Order: sequence, then structure tokens, then C-alpha cells
Amino acid sequence: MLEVTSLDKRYGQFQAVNDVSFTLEPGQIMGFIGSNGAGKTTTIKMLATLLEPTSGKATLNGRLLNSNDLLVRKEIGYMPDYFGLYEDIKVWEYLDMFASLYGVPGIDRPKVIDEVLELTDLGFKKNEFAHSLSRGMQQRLCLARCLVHNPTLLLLDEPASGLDPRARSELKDLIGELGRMGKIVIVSSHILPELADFSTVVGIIERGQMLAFGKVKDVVRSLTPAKKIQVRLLEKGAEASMWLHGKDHVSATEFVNPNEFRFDFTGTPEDQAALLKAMVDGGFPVVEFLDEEADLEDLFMKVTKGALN
Amino acid sequence: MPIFEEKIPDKPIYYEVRQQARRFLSSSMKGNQIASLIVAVVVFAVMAYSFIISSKYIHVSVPVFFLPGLIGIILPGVVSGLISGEIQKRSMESLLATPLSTGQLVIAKALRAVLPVLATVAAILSLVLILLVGKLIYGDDSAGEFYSGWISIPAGIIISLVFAYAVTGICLAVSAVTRSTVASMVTSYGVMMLVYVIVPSIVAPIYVAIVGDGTGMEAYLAALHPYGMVALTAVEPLMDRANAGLVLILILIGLLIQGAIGFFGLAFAASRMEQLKRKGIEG
Repeated sequence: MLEVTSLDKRYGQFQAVNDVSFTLEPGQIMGFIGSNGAGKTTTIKMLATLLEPTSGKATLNGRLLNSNDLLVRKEIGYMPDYFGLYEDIKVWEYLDMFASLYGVPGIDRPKVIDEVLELTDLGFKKNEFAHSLSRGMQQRLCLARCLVHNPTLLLLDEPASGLDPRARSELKDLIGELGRMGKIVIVSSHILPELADFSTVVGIIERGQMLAFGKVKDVVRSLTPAKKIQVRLLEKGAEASMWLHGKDHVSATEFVNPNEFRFDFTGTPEDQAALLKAMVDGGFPVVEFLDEEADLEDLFMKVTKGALN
Repeated sequence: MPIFEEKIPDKPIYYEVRQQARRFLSSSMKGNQIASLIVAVVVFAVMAYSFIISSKYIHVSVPVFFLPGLIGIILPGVVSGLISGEIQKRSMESLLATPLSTGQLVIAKALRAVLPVLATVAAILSLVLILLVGKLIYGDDSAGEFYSGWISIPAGIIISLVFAYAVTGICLAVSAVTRSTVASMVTSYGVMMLVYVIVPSIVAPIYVAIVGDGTGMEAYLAALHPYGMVALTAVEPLMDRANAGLVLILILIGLLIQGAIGFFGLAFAASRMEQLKRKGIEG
């Protein structure tokens, strides 16, 4: 279990990370969302023990994550947002080197390397030079490198940046798989839809402050008390909108086209059913009456707007 | 599998040397490595030829005089980019995130110097062998300036190894504060020029002006410089004017100074890396 308690990082006057706290259970994948410079990388580096927090602490299974404790790093797999590969080293040698650095016994290394290469789908490149791989493959190699010592906590800083859609989708599957293997995974990104699919938990950070944290649905619900309902009619769109205007729980109607509009609705599902019944009974030819799920993109825009203004 | 093995791995520090050797032996070298190997072989062949034809007049310990100079030229090229290059390539972060301590990391980098130094020593020893072969063919007429004693060969090699340690320390210290390989290499050569050429060339004339030439005192000053140490073990006139026991002690002090330069260089590099680790590479 990863427990982060009021983590702070200050560079002179600049507060890069301000009082960030959260808890993650094994198997949880946290989507760490924030715009550029919001404090994602700083937080991840502090968790990777590569940066000392100004105050606050983080513990992994009760063990303090701190740069004096070299051995706690065996439990952490850290993938930097930008990384360099050595020029004259083969894929298996690269993994072998990091396996030995993390203290994997020499006798187990060939097996471990084969396993991580299989997991990251790089087995056929085992004897190629690392720098000759494509960007997506290098990214996967870096992920494989984070896995050689079987860490319990994986910190992936912008793993999908610069990947084509196919490589990105493969990476998503891989991260999902790691979650199912019982690892705690923190994935940061500023591209939101990319995280929505596989994150079990989402944290939104802006200007160093954690604005929202929790299960994707809970965060959406807590941040958007009013859900949007989209209505499409055969005719009488304007009259329907007028009719809705005075009803309970209904506000902010906006037209998509003359016979189609959305409105904010704050009532319970029962209220929603009653409203639909009333509309149909009122003689409006309703074709569609849909809940619009607020996606992470909307949510992010909504949450960060307050902080930026 | 135990979660925490309470043991810091110590073997990885040999990784670099092992890889280097493996690459060399499996002949999977790159183009520029093959090119430099060809250049080295040609230079060695020319030297061997000139030694064999002049072997009658040269003492067997003469090739050892090349050793400190060769090390001073070759080592900065090999060692000075090792830390700054990692920062430049942005591969340092991944290394710092491993359980390896910064001390182990710096020692691992310093071990990179081992194979080039051993290769240079081997080349010099084979030149000594070539001289011996030449003497068998052409006879020996090399008495005079040099001791006929063989002690200067092992002594010169030991002095050169300590000098190589000092150079490695200087280069890694410079490498830890510069941000690119080229800057690091230029600065390393500059610092070595300052320590081993410019400062002695200023101090020596002042010393001679104050103490005077031909008093035998220059031996004591020479003992502080790697080349002076090698000279003291081999050159007869220099040694004759000084007390041999005292000179030996001075050479030991000189070796300690070189060792201290190497040690402080490595310690500085390690402390600088520790700083990078705590404050972040960008910060």
C-alpha cells in the first residue's frame, strides 16, 4: 500500500507541490493528470526517491520512501518522462545491466529478461542494439527495464508521449495487465482520454495542489453534481424547452439544433423517469433522452479552470 | 522471492569492465573502435621498429618513460565523458534510481580506466621485450645516463598506475560538474595541463633561482611530479646527487600526493552525484 501524506516541494519561493496526499492499494492504477508544470513530475520524482520533499512523507508498505534508504528502491520501478539509451548496448544487455544493478541474482537474470521481454512484446528484438529500436519499442524497453526487479510500485512519467495511436493502445493494454498483476501503478499524462480507459483511480493536480482524487466515477460525480441530459424530438423543440424551463432540478438549457437540446439535471433517477413520462404525456415526440457521461476532458477543464483564474 | 534482500549489490560495479572486455573479445566493435585500433597498431609498429634498430644505444627502461605521457593523453579521452555523458544523454536518472550508492557508481565509472591502462602497460612492456631482442641481435652499448638496474621498470609502472588513478580522479571530478562530454574532455585536459605542466614550469625556475642549480636539491622537488619520480628511479646523475634513502621517502610522499588527488577527485564526483540525486538533475 502506498501512503502519501502532505507532500510538499518548494524551490525558493516557488511551491512546486503543495500538500499532496493520497493512498493507493495494490492493483490500483492511478491516472495522474495535470497540465504542463502542474507538479506531476516533481511528485513522481519524490516518490522515486530522486528528490527530497521539503516536508511530508510517502511510505510503501510501511517503509519510508527516502533517498537515504537505497534498498527501498528495489520496490520501485521508475520510468522517467525522457530517457536516454546507451549507444552500443544490446536490448538484453541493457536489461541484464539493470537487473544486476537491482540485485537480481545472475542465475535468474536470463529467465527474468525473457519474461519481461515477452510481457512487453519485445522478444524478437532481444539481440538488436537498443538505440536502433523505434520510439515505441524504446518506450516499451524502458518499461521492461522498470520491471526486471519485480517492483511493487511503478511510477510511469508520461509513458505515452510521442507514441503513435497503435503503440499507445498497446501500452494501455500493458499497463492494465500490470494492474491485474497486483502492482501499484501511477501513470502521469496531460492527455486525458488516454488515462480514462484503464485508470481505477484518478488524481488531478494543478499548480502543485491535488484538486481531486478518487475513483473515476466518484470524481466525476463529486465534481459534476448536475449531469447533462440530451433530448432529441421529432418536432416542437422550442416549446419543449419552454415547458422544461419551470420544472424542478432543471437548469441551463442549450440548443444543439432546433429539435435537439441539452440541459443540466440535478434530480435522482426517479425524478428523471418522472420527467420523461411527463414530457411524453405532455405530447412531445421524444426520440432520444440520454444521460451524457462527463468525460475526463470536460472534468479536467472544469476543475482546473477555477485554479487558473 | 524475498521482498527486501538486505544486501546492496556489489558486482554491478564491474559491469562496465566486463562488457568492455566481452565486446573486445567477441570483436563486435564499432567502426571508430576498429579505426583507433588500427592507428594504435601502426604507431606501435613504428615505435617497435625504431626501438629495434636503435636498441644498441638505448637502455631497456626507456620505454617506461612513455608510460605517464601515454596515460595522460589516453585516459581523459576514455574517462572524462563518463558522468557528463550520462547527464547529456539523460540516462543518469535511471542509474540514480537504482539501489547503487553514488560511491559505487563512481567506482564503477573509474574502473572503466582499468582496461586502457592495462593495455598501455602491456604495450610498453612489449617494447621493453623488443629492446631486449634488439640487444641480443645488435649488442649492448647503453651504459651512461641510465642505471643498468632493472628496478626502474617495475617502479615506473607502479608510479604510472598511481598517476593513472590521479588522472581518473581529476577527469571524473571535472565530468561531474560539466554538462557535456566535449566540455568535460577539454576541461579535463586543461586541468591536467595546469597541474602537471604549467604549475611545475612556474615552480621549477623559481625554485632553481632561490636554491640554485646543481646543488642536488632539484631531486627533492622532482619527486613530487610523476615524471620526476620516474626519472629519479632511472637517471643516474639525478640520483647520484641526492641521498637515495631520502629520495625513496620523497617518491613515496609524491605517490601519496598523487593518490590523494585521485581519491579527492573520486570523492568530489561522488558528492556531486549525491547532490544531483537529492536535488534533482534539472534543479
